[in-house]
Amino acid sequence: MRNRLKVLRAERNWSQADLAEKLDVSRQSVNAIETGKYDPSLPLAFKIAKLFALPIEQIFSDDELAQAAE
Amino acid sequence: MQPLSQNKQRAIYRYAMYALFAGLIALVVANRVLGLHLHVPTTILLVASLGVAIWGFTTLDEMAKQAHYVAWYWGGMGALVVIGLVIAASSFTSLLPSLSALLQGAFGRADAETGFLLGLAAGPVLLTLGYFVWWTVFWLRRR
Repeated sequence: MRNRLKVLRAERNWSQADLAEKLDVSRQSVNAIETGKYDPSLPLAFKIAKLFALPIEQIFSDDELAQAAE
Repeated sequence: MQPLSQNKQRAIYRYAMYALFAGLIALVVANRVLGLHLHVPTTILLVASLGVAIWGFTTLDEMAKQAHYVAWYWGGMGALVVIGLVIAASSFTSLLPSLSALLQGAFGRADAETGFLLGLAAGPVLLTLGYFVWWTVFWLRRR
């Protein structure tokens, strides 16, 4: 799973700790999601989408589909 | 009043566990050094620790919970394999006499009672060890 979390966070000048606070998760979880080492659950993915006011598919994309598009 | 965020609850949980652990160490020291019999406060502390741990688990975020699930599954599975291998090996090798000699050296006795109690303790010790190994692996891989 790929995601644009790091870019979206940087656009808002938020640190990982800021984002973690807003999502009510640990900073380690934010880091693991950003680096693709952990795929969030559907409820957390929707929470992230709601926070950035974006459709979920504009934040997360499937690896194979993203590779095919490239 | 606004409900506490999960992050704040996690911090409270962490400090509560530190306090309970410090209390447990204090009770052990009081027992060993002062010779006090503290069965009742120790039992209360252990039950309180269980309660705090159960509440604390609900405050964890999903990745921390997954770390526990993965660690218990794979760590426990690994420990069970080790225990199974020891049991199997003891039936067709000379492992038991070696273990008896080990008990004799460590505890000065190798009777059935000691062996039984250590056998009982070996299960949870190995499961916990396996759990910590996999928990560490989980977090190191997701740093």
